[in-house]
Amino acid sequence: MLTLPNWVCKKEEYIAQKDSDYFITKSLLGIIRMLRQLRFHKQVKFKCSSSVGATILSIIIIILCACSHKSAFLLCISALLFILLSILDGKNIFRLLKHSIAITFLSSLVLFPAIYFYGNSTILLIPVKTFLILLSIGLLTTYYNWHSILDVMNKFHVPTIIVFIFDTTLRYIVLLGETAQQILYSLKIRSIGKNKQKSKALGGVMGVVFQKSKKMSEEMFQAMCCRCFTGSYSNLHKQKLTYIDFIMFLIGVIYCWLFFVLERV
Amino acid sequence: MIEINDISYSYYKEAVLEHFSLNIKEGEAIAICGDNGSGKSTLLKIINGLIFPQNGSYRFENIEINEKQMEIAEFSKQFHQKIGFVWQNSDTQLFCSSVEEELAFGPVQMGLSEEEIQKRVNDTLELLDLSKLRNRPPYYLSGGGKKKTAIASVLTMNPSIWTLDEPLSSLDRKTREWLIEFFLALKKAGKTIIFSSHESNLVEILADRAIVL
Amino acid sequence: MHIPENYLSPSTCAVIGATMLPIWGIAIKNVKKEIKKEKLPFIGICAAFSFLGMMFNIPLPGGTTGHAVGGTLIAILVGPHAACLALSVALFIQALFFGDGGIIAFGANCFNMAFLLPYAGYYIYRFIKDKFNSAKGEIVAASIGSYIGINLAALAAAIEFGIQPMLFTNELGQALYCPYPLSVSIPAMMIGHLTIFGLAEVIFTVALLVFLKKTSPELLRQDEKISFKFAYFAVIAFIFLSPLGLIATGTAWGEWDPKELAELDFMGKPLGYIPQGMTTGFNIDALFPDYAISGLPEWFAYILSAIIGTAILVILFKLTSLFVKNKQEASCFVLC
Repeated sequence: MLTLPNWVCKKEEYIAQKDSDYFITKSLLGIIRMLRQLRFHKQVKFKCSSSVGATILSIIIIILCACSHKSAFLLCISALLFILLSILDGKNIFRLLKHSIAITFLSSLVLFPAIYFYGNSTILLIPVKTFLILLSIGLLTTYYNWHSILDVMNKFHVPTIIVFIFDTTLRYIVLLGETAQQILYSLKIRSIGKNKQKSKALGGVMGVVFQKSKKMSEEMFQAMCCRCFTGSYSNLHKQKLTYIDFIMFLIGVIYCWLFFVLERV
Repeated sequence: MIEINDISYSYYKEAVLEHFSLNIKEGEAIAICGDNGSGKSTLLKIINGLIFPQNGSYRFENIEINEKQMEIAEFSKQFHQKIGFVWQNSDTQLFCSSVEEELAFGPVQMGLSEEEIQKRVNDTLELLDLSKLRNRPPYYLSGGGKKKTAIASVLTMNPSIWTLDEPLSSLDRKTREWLIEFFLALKKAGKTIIFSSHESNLVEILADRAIVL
Repeated sequence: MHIPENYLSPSTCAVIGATMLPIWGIAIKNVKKEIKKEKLPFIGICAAFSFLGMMFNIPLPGGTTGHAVGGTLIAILVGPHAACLALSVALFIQALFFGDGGIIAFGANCFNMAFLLPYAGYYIYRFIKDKFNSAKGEIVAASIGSYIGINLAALAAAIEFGIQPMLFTNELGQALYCPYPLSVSIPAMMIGHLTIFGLAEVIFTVALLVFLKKTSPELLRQDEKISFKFAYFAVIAFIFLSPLGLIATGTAWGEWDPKELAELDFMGKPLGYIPQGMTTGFNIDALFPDYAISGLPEWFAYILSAIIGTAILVILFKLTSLFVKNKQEASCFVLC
């Protein structure tokens, strides 16, 4: 029979001290929130249509929105975005609005002093524009999963290498994020008193994540070799343009026209 | 000591635990069995206060463990000292730059004296036969070495409840036998042990009762 | 430090985005040369790593926390070219999926955080490290590099913000984008970065580097000899480009004390490699008291002061390294 040291057999009399290690909880919350958000993106909403039209429309809307200085045009954009938003289910609507409104609020808080100091009221358009742009990006990433958005890059003949890097990054953010989450949990439950070397603990967490990512990248390369990777990376499911894409293009053209008419006044 | 009453937990609408209740007395050894994905790890995480059940209640020493309670820093530290957790994947449990530092991490935070810390670390290194690996970085140890280091790092905190997630998975025979002996010694010393396992052997030898999820 | 949407005019974003194109091109070319083409997964995984790094809260003295970008660290770990690509990818994903930083301002954010930060941080790190050539020197080099790197990026963002109200106004003279001029934007950005965020960056970089040096030194990049030709060229180019700033800011020239602006805009930007503390220590007024009367044209005075400033810094570094070689222990004291 194994004999345990004396101190193990005794019950530990220990009173915890206070220490501010809020950085662990804060980092954990950030990562958990991020992982949850990425999982949301995995949900495919409209399988039938390709994302090419929607992505191009989003880009057009974002650029026009950024260039616009007239509330009339911004009103036109918000009409489109709110229609698209209203089609979604309540949970997604709440998530999108919460996110966009939070950032918009911050932005207007930063700009607020300018109204007093410079008597500049046109500046109020900026938070509105920010809100619309965030909403349109949010809508795009809610309606389509990230694989199909990255697929659009293929359509535009972005080098496959770059598409491949993006794809790997998104996959490994989830994998490494989960690892980091576990290590942070473990650091949290072992932080039972005063830690004088907090940055050292932090170095350990990120250090292990880095070691792991280096190992993963080597293994991934070897696995790719084993499956006859030749250096080029091609995507199997090529998207075909559908009538929805053309509707999207059409909406884009209409908005360009609206922009030129309304902004000239 | 541990009272779990009618708890439910689900990941993204997929329920892993439903209306589950469990009472554990001090000094008991409990095995949690079940298929993959049946919620063993989830239950252990709930017991460790890392995640919180969406329904039902979890009481530890007559204190309700919930998000609000765990936000009180002193309480959660005290709580984590009492319950030690050995993860299934040792990689994610070790984050110090050497085995020795890993072992000293708990005692140093508890504010023990220098001698006491040294004694604990030395005792533990000897007990788990890790003395040779003392200055090695944990990340580069073998699977068995990592598991032993993870267990040693919990041992130095001397918790009264041990939770172990699949403690014997992917270990060689020698390490397994040694670990079983170690768990028996812990049990004899009056520690509460809660572990999940697929090994009928370990369940038979160690557990007072087994719970199938 | 992520520049949000609509703070910069689309044209500013377009110009800065266009300058990023050749930078990305050079980075890809160099990465292909350095890392074998087949090891591409590495870049993606590095991007994932830097993305996660930006999510971490860094414990600061006094119980507060701050975020770091970790650009210099990534550059030290995988080389500046790979870091540039990895950070760009991470920034893109932040903009697209998390609303951190604008889509249109993506080029500007990349310029600050994926170009200025890693390259400046890395070259400063290498420059100091090669001079000291010791373990302690390396840590000191990394902390100085990361500190200057993040502050340089913040300064660039501040300047991008600050030139908006001078360049883009409507008929009434009201600013259309960021309404704050340089005199507001620079202090607003720099106060936070010289203190909290600079410190967070240093802590993050040093903590990880120390851990990796101890546990897996073989994972750290084996640095091949690099030439500082490019860096020297950049410094010289910046010195001679410094009067350009005069033209750009010309419209608003009368509004502020020119000396104050000169110090911020011209000493900070062209001589990006100068630590902030040293810049303030080197006082233009002391060298050129009242240079307007001395008959020198302004642009010439700026070039002259930039040259002298750079030379003095190089001299200071050489003197310090001479001193440190003799007394290793003192290195931390002198440089911190």
